[in-house]
Amino acid sequence: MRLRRPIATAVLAFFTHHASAGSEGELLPDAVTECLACHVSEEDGPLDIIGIRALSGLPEEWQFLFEDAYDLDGDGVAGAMRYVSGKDGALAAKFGQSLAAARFEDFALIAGAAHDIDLSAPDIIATLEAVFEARSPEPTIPFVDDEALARFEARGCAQCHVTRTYEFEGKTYMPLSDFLMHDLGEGNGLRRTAPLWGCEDCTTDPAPHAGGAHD
Amino acid sequence: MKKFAVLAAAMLAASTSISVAQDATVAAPKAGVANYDPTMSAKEAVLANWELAAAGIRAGRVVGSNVVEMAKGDAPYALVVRQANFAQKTMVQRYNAALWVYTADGGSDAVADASALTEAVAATNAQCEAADCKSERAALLAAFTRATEELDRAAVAARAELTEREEQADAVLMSEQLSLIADYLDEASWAEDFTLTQFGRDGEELAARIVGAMSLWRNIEPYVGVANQEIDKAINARSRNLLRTMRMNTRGVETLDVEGAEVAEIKQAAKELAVEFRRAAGLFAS
Repeated sequence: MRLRRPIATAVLAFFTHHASAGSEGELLPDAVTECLACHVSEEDGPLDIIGIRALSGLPEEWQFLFEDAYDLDGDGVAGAMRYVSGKDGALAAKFGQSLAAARFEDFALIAGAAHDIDLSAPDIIATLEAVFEARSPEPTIPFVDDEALARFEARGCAQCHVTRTYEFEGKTYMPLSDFLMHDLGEGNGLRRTAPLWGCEDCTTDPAPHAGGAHD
Repeated sequence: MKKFAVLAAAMLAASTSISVAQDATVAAPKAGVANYDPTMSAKEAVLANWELAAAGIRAGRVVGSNVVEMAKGDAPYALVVRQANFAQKTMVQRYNAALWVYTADGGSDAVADASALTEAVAATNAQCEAADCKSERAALLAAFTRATEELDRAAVAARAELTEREEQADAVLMSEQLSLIADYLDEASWAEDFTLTQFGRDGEELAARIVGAMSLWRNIEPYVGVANQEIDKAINARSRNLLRTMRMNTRGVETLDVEGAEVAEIKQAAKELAVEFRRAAGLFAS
């Protein structure tokens, strides 16, 4: 007996878009060029998404280190993992504001469907991933010094924007996210902790939050 | 940004309503172009729970291994202890959250020797009295080495349980999973054999064991909801009651009297929830 899926695709919030589109000089499939058009602001400019390569190296245990789905520790913050379909088995999600996917290719398909761009061919997805990885800015640790880090932690930001680091391909990364879903209250609902890697403005006063919810 | 969020919410609502309307005949939504559906299949949802247990224990093993590597190297002792403190919390939490696996397995050799965790916690808490902390460092190394080996064995065993189930039918898996949760809550092995009593962490262990079972529900709930909304709601209500009762009776509690009124209250709430899980299991039993 095979059971039906109870709910359909959640076409979820994901990329933030910047208005101006750049042209792509390389010979790329049209679908990839279409994606780039909204994710770069100038020809040969960087992608507006940081850390795509680094995210691929996120340790598989990462979310387990921070998950507290029912606020067992009583700190007022509950964060839960989200498992998603991996075709041949469930995977812990890490992509998207709503943790809609565990792999780049799956997330790209969701984005493509939302924008009516056909990314279904494996070679197009592979090209897209390679191009996005190559043009995605390398994350930096955004604290100017230990005091800035201490202030960030003292404000309680590190409860979700965790300051733990990981090593990948010989580099140290601090994504400043537990990659868990948190309830941000009315009007915001459940959202993944946004990674803040490389975002110095996000880690300095004042904190970019309003009443516990993200702007 | 708000506008985008509203749009996304509208898209989500639209896709969900389509799904409900077509549920009788359609397994997956139709999209204009090839799409990816993050919704787990029934089998994936059940097996995700086994993966959750295996991966959780493995996470404990990984962070424990970091301690081993640091203790072997030349990292300052204080830094090793700091890492050990972080690691043991994950190791203890994840081991206890996966306790339902051992109930399901009938207490076979899938059970890690929990005394290894006790030793790791003890080594982490040890006060360094010597200048070089050589003996404490060696104790940390030995304790975490043993604990990570135990967790490694337990993770492999939990993963093997997943593999064994891969070929089974969806309904069989779903029924088994719901029955397992019911048995686990009902039999109350989660209220016995605390391994960190000497460190005043009974409440923490019990809570992790209950929450481990609750986490399973998150993955399979959609399937119960589709099959019977009344049972779905009853499980959610009883779950909230169990969590509330558990928090009231365990938060900050160092030592639990397994025969005491507090544990009895939690057991009662767990039994009431188990009844609902058994009803849900019946929905999928052939």
